[in-house]
Amino acid sequence: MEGDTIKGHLEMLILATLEVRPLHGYAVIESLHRVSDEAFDLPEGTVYPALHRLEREGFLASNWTSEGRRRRVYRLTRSGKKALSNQKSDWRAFSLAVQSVLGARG
Amino acid sequence: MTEPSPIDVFLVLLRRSLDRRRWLSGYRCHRVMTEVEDHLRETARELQSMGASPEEAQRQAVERFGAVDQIAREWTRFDLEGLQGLVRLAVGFLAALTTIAATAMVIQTLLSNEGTLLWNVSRFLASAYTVAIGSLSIVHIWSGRPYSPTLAAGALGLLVLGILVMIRSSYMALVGPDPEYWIVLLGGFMTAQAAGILLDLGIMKRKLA
Repeated sequence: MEGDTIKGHLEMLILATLEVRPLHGYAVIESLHRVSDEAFDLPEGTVYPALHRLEREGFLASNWTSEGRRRRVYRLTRSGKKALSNQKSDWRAFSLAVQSVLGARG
Repeated sequence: MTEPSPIDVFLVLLRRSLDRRRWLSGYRCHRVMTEVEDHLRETARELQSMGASPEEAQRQAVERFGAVDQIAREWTRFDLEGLQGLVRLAVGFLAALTTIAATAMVIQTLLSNEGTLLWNVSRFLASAYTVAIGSLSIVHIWSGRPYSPTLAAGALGLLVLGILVMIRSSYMALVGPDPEYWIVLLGGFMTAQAAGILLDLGIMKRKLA
């Protein structure tokens, strides 16, 4: 799947990835690759501005961890959980509508 | 002299690019650079453990990360959103101030016995409109919704109105009472609204282009 297709949903995917547990940037990208079975072909560098944006919007919080190397670990905030829940509902409704249309055409 | 590694070259180019972002703070730049370097070195380490040579592993890590131009564009977008947030905050603050001033004007109008009924109704409607736009702007800004050209037009009108009130008040304090006070004020307000609507149309045109 190309970058442009994912871009509109990247923030939702990041929130969903961090719903499981707090992760640093590299681990977020790794998890996205692994869980999607390498389906998302996104330049890894574009994930960091998305992480910073989500943090600025209050959906994520982050702090430096001193375990091993110094890394920034991101975690979901309460409003992030709420935003993710809303985005999941929107996505399900959208997906259902698309499937209905495609099914009707197919 | 040894050649710099692909990761080092990438980091220098990215740093240069980030330094050109006017609204990205020094702390943000430092944080981004730390995260990016950690990411690239981790990727290279993983690729090396899978059998790639150190040089090849670094080259692939940089390639997977994306072109500097593309990454810089993403940070520019992040920058602009930050700037818009600041503008929204400033507009919200000014809208709050002018709404208070406009509310005072509405009260003054209601209490005033001067002028004809039509004149008083006009003043009241203009003031009520100002209060409505100001209140909407505040609600809109604090709810964190995306930038709205329509409310921006109203907020610009309020800003100019506020400035006009200040100028006119200073004039009256220094020179004396001016019977044209309300006409000038309403004229200024309407001009500001017209300018706001033009701005609104310009923004919409750019968005549609």
